[in-house]
Amino acid sequence: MSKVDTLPARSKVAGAMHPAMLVGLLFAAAAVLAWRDLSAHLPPAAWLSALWSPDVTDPQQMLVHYTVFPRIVMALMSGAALGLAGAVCQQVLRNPLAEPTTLGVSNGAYLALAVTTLWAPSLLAFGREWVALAGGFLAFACVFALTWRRALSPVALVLAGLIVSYYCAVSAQVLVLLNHEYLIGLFIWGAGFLNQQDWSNVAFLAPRFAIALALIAAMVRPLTLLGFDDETARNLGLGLTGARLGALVIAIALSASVVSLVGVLGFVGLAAPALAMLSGARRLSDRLIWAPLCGAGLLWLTDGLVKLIPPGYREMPAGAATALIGAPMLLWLLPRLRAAAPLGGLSPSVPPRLQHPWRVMLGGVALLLLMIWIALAVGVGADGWSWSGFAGIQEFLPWRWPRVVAALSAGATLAVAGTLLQRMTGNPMAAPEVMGVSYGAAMGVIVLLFLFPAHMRAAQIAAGGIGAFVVLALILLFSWRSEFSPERVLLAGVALGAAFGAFIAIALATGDPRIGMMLSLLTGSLYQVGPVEAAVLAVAATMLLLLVPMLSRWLDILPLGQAAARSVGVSMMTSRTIIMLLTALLTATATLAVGLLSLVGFIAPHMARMMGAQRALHQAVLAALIGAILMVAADWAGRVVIFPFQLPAGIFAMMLAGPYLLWLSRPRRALRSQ
Amino acid sequence: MGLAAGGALAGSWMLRVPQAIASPAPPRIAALGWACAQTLLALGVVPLVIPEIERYGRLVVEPEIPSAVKEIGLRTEPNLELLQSLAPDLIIIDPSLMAAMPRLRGVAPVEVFTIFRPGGRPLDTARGSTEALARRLGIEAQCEAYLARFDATMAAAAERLRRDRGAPLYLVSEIARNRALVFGPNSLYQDVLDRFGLQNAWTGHSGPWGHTSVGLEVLAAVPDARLILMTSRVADVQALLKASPVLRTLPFLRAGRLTVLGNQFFYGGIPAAERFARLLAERLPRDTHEQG
Repeated sequence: MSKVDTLPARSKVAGAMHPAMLVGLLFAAAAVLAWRDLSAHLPPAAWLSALWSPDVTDPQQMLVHYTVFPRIVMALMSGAALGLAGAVCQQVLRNPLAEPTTLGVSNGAYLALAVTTLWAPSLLAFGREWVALAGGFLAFACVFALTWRRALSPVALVLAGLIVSYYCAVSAQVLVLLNHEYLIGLFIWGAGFLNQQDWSNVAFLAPRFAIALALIAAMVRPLTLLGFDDETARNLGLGLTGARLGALVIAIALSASVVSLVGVLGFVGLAAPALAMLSGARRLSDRLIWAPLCGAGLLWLTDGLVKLIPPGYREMPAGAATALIGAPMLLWLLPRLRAAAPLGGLSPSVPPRLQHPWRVMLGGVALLLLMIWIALAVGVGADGWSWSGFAGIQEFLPWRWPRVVAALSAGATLAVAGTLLQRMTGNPMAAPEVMGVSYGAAMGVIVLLFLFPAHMRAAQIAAGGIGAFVVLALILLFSWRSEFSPERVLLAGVALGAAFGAFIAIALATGDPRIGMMLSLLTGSLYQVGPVEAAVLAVAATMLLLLVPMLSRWLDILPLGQAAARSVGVSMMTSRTIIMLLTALLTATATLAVGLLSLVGFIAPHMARMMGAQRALHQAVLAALIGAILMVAADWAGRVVIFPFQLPAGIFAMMLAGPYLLWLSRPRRALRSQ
Repeated sequence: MGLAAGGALAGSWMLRVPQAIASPAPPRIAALGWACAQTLLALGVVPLVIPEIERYGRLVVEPEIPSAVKEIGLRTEPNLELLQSLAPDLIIIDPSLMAAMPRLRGVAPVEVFTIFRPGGRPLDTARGSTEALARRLGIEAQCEAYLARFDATMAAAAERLRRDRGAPLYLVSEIARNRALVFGPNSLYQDVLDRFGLQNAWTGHSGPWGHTSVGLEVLAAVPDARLILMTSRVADVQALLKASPVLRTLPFLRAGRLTVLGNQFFYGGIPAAERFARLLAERLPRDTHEQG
């Protein structure tokens, strides 16, 4: 039911595009650049001898043999490996946004490296790649354990994967916030530089890639069946769990190997299969061939472009640059993505419907009020914990109330934005944080931070607002003609998000001292929120949230699919445009206050749904309450836990909500996968 | 002028703390950045609070922070509630904290202490900022004495380093798997090297803060260079050198032309320059001539 590619008969190939054209173009451009680079070192006649038997006394030959050639091979092989891993993951998880990173690989590796760097640096001498590999696999093992009992159903995998992935990210953020001077090496790795000094990385990756390739080739049939819904696949005689596990382990191993060697090149795994599909590789067997080729071409070309930057200037990591180059390509090809049925299958297990939704909401309101009071009255001071009476509150009220109000508004706003997005797209991975809008806001602030080291808060807000709206305009522009079909909106958002995420990775890799400031902005710190801002945020959030009840009919109907919506007279174009706009406004508003990594917009709607809120309005209200409680609690916890240090609310929101969400998503009653 | 006003500095001389250093109640100063904290300590003023004291001890190292100084939290997010309850007379911040200025002003007057500014030489800027800070606190005499001591240290170091002017130096603070963080022409250290007549082997672009990350193969471009390693995690570096064939092929490492200076504070003021200069003068000649 929920896949993008099993209805070839319906697909009308837009134009006569073949993936070979795209791949050929990528390779041709990359080859020209490589030619240019090589000629700068040696005359073409000497290339072969430099490759096979370099003259030890000639420094140029040695340089070409040990840095230029391995780098080309590494770019090609990493790109191909990530493309293949991405194609397999998207097939198994039946989600065009999935890639190994979705299952926690990159972030697990990142966390493992951060922990090792800080507490057991001597382990790194053995080999960074082993530490990173172990981290990636450990993260996947968690995902696996969490979803085993549900026969690794795709939706459950994606949910658990995202949660584990963000959990690792957030834990790493805590370490980074408190130790960023020590972790510059980690940032440099995280940005994905392709520099090579010998052939050891190639020797490490080549056999692994070859084995994975052979195994995947042997699995084409089961993989094809995995693209159907579970019922069909089972009837065709497929052992679902075994097949899924096998395919995923291969994809994970492959991508973890690459990540461990050259750092985070996440976007390739997402973009390569998408580019292959958009340029005409519809069938799985086609995609398994063309996605790795697209990945290889994309990464090789990117690295060639990166090397054009004259030495001495700030070098750009290939990982980040790939996103900068791949994102526009993805956007350009986006109109070719044909409309598919909504992904559906939103719920991994169908929770019992809430009998008395309003009672639950009242309980939520009571809990929220209690939390607000705690956040205002309980604090830590120079003399330890203090429970202020009503008089005592006044002393610290000017510091505390803006944070509480901002947390509350931002939490509710993000949660509702997430609800709208998940309802409209029918994709459980949809969240305002996943869309590019929040990256846009963060990007605006970062640019400001770098252009004007010393600036005022108002400038920060303006810059964030401009960033958010630029991205919003781009998303609207790119998905306009498709009547905002969910896949396109999401892919456009993810592509833009990746491009902006790349800037952030580059900024981190520079080792700039303002990293601390940037990190706290990104991870949802409410430190900078002043009274005026909090008030404005509250008013804006209230106004936007009041619009939501008017959309509740659309929100109930849209998840049922286009046909159903049209049959009851709902215009796709109008309803989607309005929902998109509202979502973007909500997200931009909240991001300005709490940054990127809060993930409340992803968690809260899921929590509301799993608690049994089925009607759109119920879900929105419940999600808003959950979001508000989470953020207020998280901000308070962030202030008191390691006083006088503070941790961003976004970090605690994730820490608090992750386990609860996993508990909620446990299988209930009879096992019903999907 | 290093001590840029948050808007009201020019007219704030009336807030100036009285000259009498020995007065019973010295000014309660909150130093919310490491560069200003370090400079205050060097001038003999003990701040009320300093952020991230434990990490300061490991990364900035000197001058040491007396145990009476209180922790105020992260440099990016000093704890405002705690700050208010300690009621300082004056708050000094790095430019990066400007966004929080309006709210800090609600607690006490705020001064900004600048080291890096576009087009400026960090050491000159630091000197100007230090003098302006001393004027603000009414301790010009101490400042003069301190700067004289600093100049004397520099002159002595220059004398010791006279024989080492030949080979250019790479200043590296971090070696990750295949890249290194290297310091260039607009870093605080370049100013120190210039005073000693030493040559920086990295002449490329180095960003607004004086450093950039480069692939290790790029460092091989100056084969006769020496490597100055500015980190205290030497054990890791040596393990890395043993394990990584790549590093072993770099000419200066193969020949053992390596000097380890311990942790340095790249964004610091005069005291950071002094620490770098002193350790360099102490260790570079020793390492060079021992290894021949």
